Amino acid sequence: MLTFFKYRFKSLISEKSLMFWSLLFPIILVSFFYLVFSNIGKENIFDTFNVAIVGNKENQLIKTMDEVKYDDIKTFELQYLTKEDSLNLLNQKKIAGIVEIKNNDEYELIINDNGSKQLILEEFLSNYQQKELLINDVLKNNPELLTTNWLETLTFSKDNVSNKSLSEKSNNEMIISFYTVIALSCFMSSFISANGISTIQANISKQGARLSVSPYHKRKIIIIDFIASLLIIISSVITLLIYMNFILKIEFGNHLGPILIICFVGSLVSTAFGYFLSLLFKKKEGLTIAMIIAMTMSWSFLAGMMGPSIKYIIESNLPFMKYLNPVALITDSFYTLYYYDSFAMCLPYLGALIVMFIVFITGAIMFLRGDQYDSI
Amino acid sequence: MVIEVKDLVKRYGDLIALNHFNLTVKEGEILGLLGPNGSGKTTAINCMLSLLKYNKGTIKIFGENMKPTAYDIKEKIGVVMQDVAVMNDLTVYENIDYFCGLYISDKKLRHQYVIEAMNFVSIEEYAKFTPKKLSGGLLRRLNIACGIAHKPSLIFFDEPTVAVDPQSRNNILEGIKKLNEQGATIIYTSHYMEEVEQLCDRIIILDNGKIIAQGTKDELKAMIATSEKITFEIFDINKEIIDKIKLLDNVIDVNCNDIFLVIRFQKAEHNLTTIIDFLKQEQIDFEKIFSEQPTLNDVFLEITGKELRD
Repeated sequence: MLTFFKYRFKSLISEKSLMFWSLLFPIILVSFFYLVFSNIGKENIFDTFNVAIVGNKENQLIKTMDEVKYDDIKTFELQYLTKEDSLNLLNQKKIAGIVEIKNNDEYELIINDNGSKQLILEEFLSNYQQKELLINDVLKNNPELLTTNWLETLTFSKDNVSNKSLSEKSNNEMIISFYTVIALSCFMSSFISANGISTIQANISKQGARLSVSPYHKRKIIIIDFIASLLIIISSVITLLIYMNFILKIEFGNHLGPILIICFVGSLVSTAFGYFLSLLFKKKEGLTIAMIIAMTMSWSFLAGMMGPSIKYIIESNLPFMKYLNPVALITDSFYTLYYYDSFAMCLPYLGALIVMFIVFITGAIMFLRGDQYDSI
Repeated sequence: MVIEVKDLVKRYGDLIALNHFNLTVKEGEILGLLGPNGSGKTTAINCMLSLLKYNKGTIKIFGENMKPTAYDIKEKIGVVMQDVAVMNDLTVYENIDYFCGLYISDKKLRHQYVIEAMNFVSIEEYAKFTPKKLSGGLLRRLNIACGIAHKPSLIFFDEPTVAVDPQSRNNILEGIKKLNEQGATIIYTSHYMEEVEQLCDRIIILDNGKIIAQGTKDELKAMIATSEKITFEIFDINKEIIDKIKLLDNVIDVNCNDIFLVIRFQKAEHNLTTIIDFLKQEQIDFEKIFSEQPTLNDVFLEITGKELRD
């Protein structure tokens, strides 16, 4: 049994293309995100933005912008100018953008660049607008909510300007992207289990036929292969976590046990997913690979890997969709654990992942049931 | 009997792959299944190995019904697949050890068997090579070693010499003979009649899933009218002369391909003298003459009307 396990393990781990997708690709991706995010961080920490203000400087938005600080350094250096002068400075790239206050107190942002400063300026204004609408709505419909405590939760000094270091909890976008890559790593590793099961099924591969004519019990073969695949997938995910934590210095909080449980459950679903697809498409190996890549990338995108806005849109409009997306469930488990320091709050997500595991593995067992085939 | 197959029917949709196929194999025998591609040889083997479902019939191996869970029977069987079925990321030694490990759990004994199997097919010097680095012939030998390392008493060889160079082919055939001498019963499928003729004690000829003839090679040859085939190398012959040859005593048929005139005769004395006299009389010059006994291809040709390799 140990010999069989040893060779299954060696055979799976020696497939270079599989190891690329399950280990190297997530490491490359997370390194890329790290570079992008860390550059944004550096710029924000050391620079104060010059922003031109055109129009009424008594406007509440302008007052708020003037007060925003990070580490006692003003975030926005406001310059009150005419539109013409502002545009000149913008063209000379001496200011990050222009905020024009119109007569009806509405405002317009003018930028001609897409850098990190412009992104933060946009985010700030967008958040301001949302909160302004919220306060007006509460004033109109639930004025009793307007307590000091509630208003404090809407301040702009803490979370709304994304200019903290990578180790601080406030960088939502960055953290969601990193967590999504961990979940993506789990599901890219489905290649390993898909390849594993294909080499033990007589109707998919010749090696599988050789195993089927041997006196080794089929159930035993499948269990050993499942364990070997699962172990490799978990190892890949843990290697990624180690790389993120020790090399990139990305914090995961002090929750080693729960993190490993989330990785284990994610890897279980991924292993079953690989089995299911490989058995569904049988000899159409290319289709299995394409499906794994397409589904994992789509799930990752919808889970917020390329920016959390899509995640918020889904959560606002189609909240049940999250429960159909294993990558989102893993991401949310990490996120919940990190933010609320509570493993109990992750349990619904883990429960949904276990349901997915049961669905995929039941599907796979249906295909695996027969010992004889109509054709091979 | 080592194998008893009765009335086996296997259909793929509307296509009948095996049509009331019957087979018996005695202990220590080398049985050849000969037939063109698609005749049902591999399907028959896969049914006997319980890999394929079949529609009708019974299969007994070592006196017991063969089924997927007949692990006691499977322990005694070795299979050399038509396609090379090895693990690409394991070395030669590891591949043989991996597949042998499915049968033999004792590590020490298995190591001995793996070494013996490598020696048997002469690939011991490639023990640390992965399959990617082996030539086609060496790969075939590895494929054989993986199938026989556990010393089975019944071995299925499914076209083991396809795409193999002549030297490797001879090595493989000699190896199979040696295995038989050591006591293994062998089922050998091929569409190469020379191999089957050279190797097998008994031959079953299959076509379109049906057994069309069976027996020893001599019995099979005795079944057909052709007893002699005479070939002349001739550079100039016309249709009129060919028609005249067809009318000679004992001539079954005449074929003229390029420079070769091939005449098949029924069993009779002086066939060669008769035809040489006739050609001299017609003043037809010829260079070389070959006289051959009928081959299994002639048997197949006479029974089915087509060449074995069509």
